[in-house]
Order: sequence, then C-alpha cells, then structure tokens
Amino acid sequence: MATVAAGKRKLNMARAISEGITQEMRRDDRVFCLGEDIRHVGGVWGHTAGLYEEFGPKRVIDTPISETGFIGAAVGAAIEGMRPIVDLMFADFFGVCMDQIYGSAGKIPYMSGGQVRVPIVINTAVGGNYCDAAQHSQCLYATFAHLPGLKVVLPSNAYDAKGMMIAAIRDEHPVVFMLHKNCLGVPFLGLEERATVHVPREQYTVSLDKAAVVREGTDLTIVSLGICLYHSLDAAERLASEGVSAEVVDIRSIAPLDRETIFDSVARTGRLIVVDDDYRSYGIGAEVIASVTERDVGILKASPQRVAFPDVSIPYSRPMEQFALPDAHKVLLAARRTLRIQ
Amino acid sequence: MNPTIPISWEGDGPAVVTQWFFEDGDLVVKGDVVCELMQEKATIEVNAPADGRLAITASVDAEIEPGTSIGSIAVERAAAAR
Repeated sequence: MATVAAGKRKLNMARAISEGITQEMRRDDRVFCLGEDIRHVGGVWGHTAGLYEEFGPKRVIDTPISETGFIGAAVGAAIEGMRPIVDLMFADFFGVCMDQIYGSAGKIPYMSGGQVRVPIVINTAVGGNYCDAAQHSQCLYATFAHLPGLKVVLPSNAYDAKGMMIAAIRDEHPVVFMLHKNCLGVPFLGLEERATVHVPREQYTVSLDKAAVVREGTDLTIVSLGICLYHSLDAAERLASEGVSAEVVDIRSIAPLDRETIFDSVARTGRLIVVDDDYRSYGIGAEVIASVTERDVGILKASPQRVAFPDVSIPYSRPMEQFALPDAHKVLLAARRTLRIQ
Repeated sequence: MNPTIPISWEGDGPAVVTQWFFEDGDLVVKGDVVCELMQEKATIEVNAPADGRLAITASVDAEIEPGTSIGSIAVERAAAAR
C-alpha cells in the first residue's frame, strides 16, 4: 500500500503521550507501565490508551489502589534495570507514597554514590478548574520540585508532551511527569484547544531542562507553565492592544529550572511576572523571582509580581474556585501594577 | 473518479463535536484519529476509514444525531508528506 501521511496531523496531549510511550515500548522491552485503571480504561486521562491492546498484561499492569506498593515495586524494578512508567493518577495522592518517591527514588542514586540508578517515570495529573474540590485539584509543583534527586516537568502542549515523555523514559534519573488536566484534551476537564498541536509521527525528544520563549516581547516578561501559560498568552494579546509588548516564557521544566533563559528574558525587558496555579507562598513565583534578583537586582525596572492560587484549599464551588484561580484578567492586573498603569 | 467514504456518527443518542485533529482538505491515513466527540462525560474518537483527503462537514460544537454524516474521505494515495 502506498504511504500517505498528512502534513498537519494534530494530537491532543493525552494521545501524544500514549504515542510516545507506545514507540518507546516498541523500541525498548525494558519499558513497562503500571498503575490504577491504565489497562482497560487507558488511564483516566486517556494517556495510556491502546497500550494494553498492543503489549498485553505483562507490560501494562493494572494495580489495586495501593500507591505505596506499586510505586515501591516500580522503584525496585528500575534499580534492577527495568524502565517503569508508573501512574500516580492525581498529584494529590502522593501523600501516601512519598517515601517511595523522595526517600527511595530520589535518594538511592545519591546514597549509592551514583552506582545505583532509578530510571523511573512517575505520571501524575495536576490542576483544578472543573469542580473536583480540595483533594483532586492541586498542582503541588513546588512540593515535588523542592526535593533534590527528582526531575519535575510539565509540558503545555502535545508536541512537547510527546518529546518530553520520550526523553523522560530514556533519562537515567527519576522524572515526575506532570500532566495538566486542562491541557490534556479531555473536554469535561476544561479543554484548552491550543494545547492540541501538530505532532510528528516519528520519535523525537524535547529536552527536560529547557524553558521556551513562546512569545517575544520587549516591555515585560511573563513566566508561566501549564494552563497558566495560555492565560499569560491571552493577557499578552490584550496588552499588545494597549501598546505593551509582553514576552511569555514557558517554564516546562520545574526542576531543574532553566534560570538562564528566564534571566536573559528579564535582562531584556526589565519587568517580571510569574504566573502559576500552585499555592502562592514558597512556590514557583518565589523561586523564579529569587533566582533573578539574587543574580542581579539591577536589571529590574519595577518590583516583580506573583499571580498564583491563594494559600487556601481549593473550593468545590465553581464561583469560589474561579475567584481563586489565576486567569488572564489577574495577569493583566499584575502587568498594569508592574508597568504602573492605572 | 475515486470513491468517497462518509464518516458518520453511529452511536446511541446525540453527541457534540469537540475537536478536529486535521484541517479540511488534509491527507489522512486510515486509522488516524481525525475527530473527537463528546457524549455526556465520555470522549469518543473517530478514526479515518481509509487513506485519503478529509472533508469536514460538522464543525466544532455542532450537535449531531445518530446516523448523521460529520465528514468524508475522498480516497487518494499520495506521496508521503510530513
């Protein structure tokens, strides 16, 4: 049969991730998946769809609700030379299995003097905006990123998601691979259509330690990630109509943080806003701002601003949740503060 | 003249088109997910029934009844293009 390939095939993030995992499982028989509902449902987000049908029960393993057990099993398998991809479903659930993640996966490579590697990928979904209340809507970027020994990433579109997933599977270190529910392509979770983009059919990697300048500007730098990146782009568009040129940077890699790219941008614009949907205090905003100011506070023309979730649990009520979540309007207000526009 | 194969919604009850993954007129490969529908909270993927050129008739947010055509594939074999 003749080969026909479309030039502009788009995938949503969930599909892009399952395609990346599928291609790696074909390439390397040490790669396998385990977690809750990944087999028959294809993952509650659809990011393991099709894997069981192709690879069967030995490489796609459904587990009981037993995070400590199956993440511990994945850490052990990684130590023994396998390449597990393990599904934590919601970042909110890490509390029951954190010792396996930061005590074992994060520490064993260091404590063995680098002799023992733990090449594990932990998939976990983050974010609210769909009325799932306080225990199923958190982001917890800073909680994971605070701990040494873990890489923590959050792609914001399907192209990056596939390339970063392949890079994460091939990485020698534990990677916490966060999936923002609003960007995955699942309509009832709040569908951000701009996250669904052209994805090449072949394998490729996207670096796990590089931020990306996704919109160039000269007056102001907005640093963001996940769904908040799209709020930031919306705010930048609105600012452009008011004669302000905003640069927007996608963090992509929370840990390690690409401080170079961020600093270079702020050095050009002189103004900095950080936008994320994790709790405000001790968070990404604080880390980004500190990273810039401790290197050279002199590049700033105005005080940096944080836009984040307030330091309260996430409400179930839609009006209350919307009141608290970052959005384009809140980014715009922060921009006007830093630009001293009333 | 190459045949044209309709893409229709054959499920139970109405659904809504949530996303097209190709542009109108794009070449697609048999099995590609060309479109996604939502029925209540369930997402339904629609695959291309053949290689060929896609024509879109139901736009995003359109509500479709069972048996309705949402697009078609004009069967075509072309050189690979990325």
